[in-house]
Amino acid sequence: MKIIRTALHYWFAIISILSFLVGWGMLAHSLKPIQPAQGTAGNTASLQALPPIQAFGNGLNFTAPSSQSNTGFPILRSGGS
Amino acid sequence: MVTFSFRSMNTDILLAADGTPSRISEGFKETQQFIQASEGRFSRFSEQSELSDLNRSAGAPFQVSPDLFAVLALAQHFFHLTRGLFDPSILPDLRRIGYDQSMELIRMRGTAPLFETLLAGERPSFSEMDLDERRRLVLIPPGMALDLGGIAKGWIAEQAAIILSEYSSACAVNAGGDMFMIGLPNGEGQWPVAIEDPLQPQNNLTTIKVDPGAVATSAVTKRIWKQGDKQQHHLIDPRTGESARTDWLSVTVIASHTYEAEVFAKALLIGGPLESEEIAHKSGTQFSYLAVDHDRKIWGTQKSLEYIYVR
Repeated sequence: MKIIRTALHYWFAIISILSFLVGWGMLAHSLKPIQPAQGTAGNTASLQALPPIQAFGNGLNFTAPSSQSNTGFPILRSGGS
Repeated sequence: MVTFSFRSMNTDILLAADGTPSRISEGFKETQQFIQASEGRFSRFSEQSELSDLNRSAGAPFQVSPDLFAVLALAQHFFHLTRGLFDPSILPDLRRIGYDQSMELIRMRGTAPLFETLLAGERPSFSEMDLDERRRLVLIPPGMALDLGGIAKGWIAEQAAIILSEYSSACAVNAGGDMFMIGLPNGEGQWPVAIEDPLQPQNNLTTIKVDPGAVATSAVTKRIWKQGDKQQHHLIDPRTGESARTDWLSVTVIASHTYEAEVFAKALLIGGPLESEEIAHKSGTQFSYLAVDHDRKIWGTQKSLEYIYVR
């Protein structure tokens, strides 16, 4: 009887450690939001404060129909349609 | 760089090119003609389009143009590659949830009617479409109707950029956020592309810098309408036949081809965080993605971070 109890103790201990390690591994490899290193461009915390598109371009017209203009560098925009 | 914008395919088209003004004007004209002719070929909203002819031919072989055949072959390829998350045969579901005419007309109409007789899922699988490459014959089974909207738009943008590149040293064609870029603008090492905030479309969320190639975005916040009390959007989850319920609001994909970027943006948006990594790995296609969630957090692979460039 004592042998069975000891074996059960070891069994539970091993299973607990394995479960912990598997859980840790899954969390470590799950998808995470992009968090750039401090000091690099693209910190998501600052994204909401970005100025609108007009601040980047030089008078580019994205909506006016049939317009042709000579501009500086065009800023392309992607957002679905 | 010279730009030229106009409306086509129910979206804003922007052409941009470097080069001599007279050549660029000529290039803009030819590119615009190509885009407008392609719209006439691929639009599901025009009864005279080749796509509408194909949809009416369901049940009998139908010979199509080389352009339509090329897009159908791509659609078949990506249907299998995304394990059905990209599926152009969801047109009956789109109609059922109220997207039965162009978005401009839907917005004028207000609330879409309810079609209670049509149940989701009552349609043949897209895998039943049969393509005969030698004779360019297409056989779609009775009950199937195709909407090539996104993939056709991506394909048209890329082909249009190739046409424009004949007249310019560097150019880009942006069809409502699906774009293809050839060469590099004078003095620039990459193309800057602003990513729109899906919750406040007048603002940008970030700017990425990419090499010549393709960028496309799919969003659930753009083509939306009411059907009864229910809010619908145009991205159908082929597994349910309903507007996809997603954890992400938009997905931007950077890839080699615009049709590829467009297809994977749609598939990842529908698949969400749980399926995106698997789709990206198993597709065997090189692409990166940036997904925006309801809190405006940006998700993606570590490689995606390399593209982010904020002024």
